[in-house]
Amino acid sequence: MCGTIFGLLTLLILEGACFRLVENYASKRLSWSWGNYSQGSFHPILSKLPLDHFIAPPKAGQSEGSILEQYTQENTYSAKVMSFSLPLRDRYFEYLCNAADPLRKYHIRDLQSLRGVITPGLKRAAMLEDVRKGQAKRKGDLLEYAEGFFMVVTHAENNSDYEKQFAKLENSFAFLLENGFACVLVSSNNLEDLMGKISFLKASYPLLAENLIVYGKGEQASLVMEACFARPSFYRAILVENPTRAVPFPAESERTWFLAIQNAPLFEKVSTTKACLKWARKARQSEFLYPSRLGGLLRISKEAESLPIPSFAIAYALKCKSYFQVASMLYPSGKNSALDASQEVLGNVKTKTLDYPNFIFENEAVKIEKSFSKDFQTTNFECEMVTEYRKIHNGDPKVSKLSNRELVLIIGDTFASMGGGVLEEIAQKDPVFMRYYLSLRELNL
Amino acid sequence: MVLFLLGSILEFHTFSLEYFTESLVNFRFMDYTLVEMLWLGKPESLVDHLTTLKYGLLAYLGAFSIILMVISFLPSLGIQLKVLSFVISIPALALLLGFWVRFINDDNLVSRSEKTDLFIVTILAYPSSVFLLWYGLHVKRKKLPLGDDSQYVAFQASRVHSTNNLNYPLDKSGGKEEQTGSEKGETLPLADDESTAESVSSELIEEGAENMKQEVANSQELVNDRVENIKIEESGDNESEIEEISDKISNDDASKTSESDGANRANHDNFSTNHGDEVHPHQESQNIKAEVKSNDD
Repeated sequence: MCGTIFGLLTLLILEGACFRLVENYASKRLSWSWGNYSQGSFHPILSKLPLDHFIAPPKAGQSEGSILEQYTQENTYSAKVMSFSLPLRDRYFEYLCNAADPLRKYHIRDLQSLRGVITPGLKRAAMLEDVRKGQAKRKGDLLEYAEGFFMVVTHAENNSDYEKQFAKLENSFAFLLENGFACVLVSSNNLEDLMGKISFLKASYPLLAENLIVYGKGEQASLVMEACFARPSFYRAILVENPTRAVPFPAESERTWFLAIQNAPLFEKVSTTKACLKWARKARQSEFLYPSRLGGLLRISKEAESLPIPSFAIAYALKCKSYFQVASMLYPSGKNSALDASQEVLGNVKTKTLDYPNFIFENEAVKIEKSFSKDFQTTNFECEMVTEYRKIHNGDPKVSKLSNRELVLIIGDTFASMGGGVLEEIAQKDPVFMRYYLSLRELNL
Repeated sequence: MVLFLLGSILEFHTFSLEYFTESLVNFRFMDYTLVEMLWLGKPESLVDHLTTLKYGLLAYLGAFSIILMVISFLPSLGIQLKVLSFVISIPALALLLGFWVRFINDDNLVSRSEKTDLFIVTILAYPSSVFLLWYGLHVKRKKLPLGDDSQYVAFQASRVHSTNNLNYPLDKSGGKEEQTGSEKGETLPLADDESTAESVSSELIEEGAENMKQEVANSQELVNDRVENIKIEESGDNESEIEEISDKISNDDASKTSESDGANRANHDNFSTNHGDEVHPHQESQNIKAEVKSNDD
């Protein structure tokens, strides 16, 4: 009996040690517990175990304590729900300590007003949709892309200050580059400038900036929040550290993830802390499992961890990127077509002076969505998968009678019935088809 | 010893106690202080740290001293060692496993060197603690002492039963059945199984006693018959003939008894010792001889 208890305890600790130290196992356990990104749901058996993944997020009405107490609860929740990222954070910490001349193998260039953009050097063959959008001249051309784009917003007094700050961030950037991110350090101290740069990036380099994540500290953190408030659909996530001003949550933000890291002394600024709490809680309001757990997190910064970019923020950005790489198809509105429609507008964005709390920002996202809906109604659903299918069934009169839209639904349903991640594989091979299929399913067309 | 050591350190300034305290306060493993590792809470200030460390260590040392004193009263060195190893292994395992639980649930970053340290500590501490625990709980099995009669009988009886069932000379059909049973592959009681052997041997002792009783009765009848025959046929006072007859009878008895093996002998001994009022066949023949002689007289 004693031996059995001892053996069980040893096994439990062994499993915990694997989860704490082995990155792959930690990710696997999360995916076992939550399912895949597109169809996330709690595992029926695992959810009965007291695992960190199943901790319930604190809600607004749940705790009536002080702001500090609420923030502490949020901090505990964040630590638990992101426990799967600890091995990754260890790796990042180790990388920062040991990396020497980490950017030597990456290409650094200026993209007009954006200085010093570092790209991971990822390339893929152009598809028909890329040709249609004008991003490639012909199918098969090599296109440069990035799995995510990490932008650090700072304020540099002069060139040498900028260089100094860039040098500090080199190792962090290198770590992100190794994980498929493009990185840039943007010096900006006003909203107009920042919005202009971001809009230019989104409009001119959509393949690089598809999954844009912005990080700011102090005054720049507030600036980033304001930029997100102005145009939330541009960002996959915003990561802010010790913001100085309270910024209201954007009404239309349905998918931007939010992470705030604050020092304990800054809790004295009640309005800022309250705003962060509101941002985090609203960002978690999602019908999908992953964003409903990870969409908004608050964190109390650790004095001991004096890294250029906190490890927690890095882990959060990587998770956000992985999620949107697969699950972006769940959010058909405001994606590429909408982006295309808005590109011209974004070229000359005119931001307005923010005057809180009576500020009412022009809701361009709604316009974009409307234009997207129109596009969607008129689109011919032509994609690689449908073309291939028609080629294979060339002589079949039944197939030739079917419209592209019907074929998308038929093929998609067949793949969905196969299960076992087939849809995810198809999404990687032909994202356009996948987008069409999920959009049709979403709209019940 | 500790007091003597500390006293000598203070007296001879071998090394500064302040330095020792500082080392204890600054000691960190995987970013955990000694206080945290001993599950004494997380100190917020240096004074708090020192106080907790002082009282914590005092409590730990006090508890261990009491345990040592209790152990010293135990009867033998072997038991003392066993209890000591058990007492050491439990806190060692608790500390190690507790540390792992804390480490798994905490939110600290660790470097590769720290991971290596943790690995080394675990590799050394875990098997040692498990070994100590095993040694503390392990009870050595005693070997059977051969000098003890009853156990010797049990041992012999079980051996006999397992070889050829020589304890059943009169019941041939039973032996045959047993043989066929074993041929069919039925399991016979094993001699090395302690409990089975005990039960079998007690049965055998009883049956052996019954056999011996019957043998004695048979031989008594035989002797009586012979004596009567002699009386009728010869009705003479030939002393030498009577002696011959009685010798013959005793030889017969001896040859009968020599047929049975050590188990029978043992049973017989046991029987004779346990049943002092019963008469041995040889003794019986001697009695008959004496009786005949007196009759003749």
